[in-house]
Amino acid sequence: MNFRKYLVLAGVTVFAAAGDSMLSHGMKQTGNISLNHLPSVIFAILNPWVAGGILLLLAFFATYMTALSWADLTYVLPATSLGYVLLALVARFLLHEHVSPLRWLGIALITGGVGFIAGGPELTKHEPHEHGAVQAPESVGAALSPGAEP
Amino acid sequence: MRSFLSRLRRFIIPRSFPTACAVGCILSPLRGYGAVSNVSQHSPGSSSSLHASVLYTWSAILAIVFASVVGDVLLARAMKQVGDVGALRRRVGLVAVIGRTLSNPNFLLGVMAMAVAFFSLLFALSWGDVSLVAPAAASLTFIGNAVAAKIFLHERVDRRRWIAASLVAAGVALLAG
Repeated sequence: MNFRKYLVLAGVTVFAAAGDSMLSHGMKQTGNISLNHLPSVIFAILNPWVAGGILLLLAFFATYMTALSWADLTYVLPATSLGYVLLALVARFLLHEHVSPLRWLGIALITGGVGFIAGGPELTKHEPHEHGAVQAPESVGAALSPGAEP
Repeated sequence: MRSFLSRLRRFIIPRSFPTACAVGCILSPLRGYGAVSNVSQHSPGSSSSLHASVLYTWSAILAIVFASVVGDVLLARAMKQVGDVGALRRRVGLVAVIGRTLSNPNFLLGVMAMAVAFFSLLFALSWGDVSLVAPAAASLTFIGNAVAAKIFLHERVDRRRWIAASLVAAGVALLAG
């Protein structure tokens, strides 16, 4: 794991949290829409919150796919769940809202879970003869080459 | 005025929900979010049809979990087939990487599964309360993904990763509930 990969994981976390928040906020401004009434769809997309939310979700999707290309699913999912913690911390310290003890416990559990996987390897090294067909040769080469890890 | 945290609950849904949203945004422009913000203002079904609504809600939750897990596993497998995006981009260029990804059959199937998850979520929210649907679907997806990754992706899900998945699932359930 080099700095660039941590940056991608941070991107997955932040883009997902921010994108969902912005889209949710924007959709509450535009109200309910349906495909039967196309002008309302265009009106909704022109809303800056909605447009920003969609862009951030696309950025999330790109970073998520990038992370999955060099890390296990069981590594990426817990590692990026810090987004939930991020949203709760924004509520507490930027918006000065009350966070119940049960939610603090939830934050602690997620943080603990992330700490657990952070110390381990991010990718299962498959034996070439065992599951060689599953992995593309270049990804094996990149994982084993001495220059790939600092 | 609704607090940020109570609004927050609405999108603490499965971890794959942003993926499903990104896909849903493309497939059906914003229909979903309109429905989500509309539905969750109503209280769930009347007590006379309580049993039916509980059954429907849990069926929809299981459908979300199943579709999300299938989607995540397919997307993960697709990206392992494509290979390390960073290294590949330096060698063949960004356009070629995107082309390889979009033409991967597992990737397309995964995107379809995410679309199914997105619409299951809309059904679940129209039958059940968001305070049940969100934490239940989110936690079960974490556990389901750990099991599916072990079986189908042959990932080494050791004790460390089981503990991590369980802790995060419990934490998300508390945060969303």
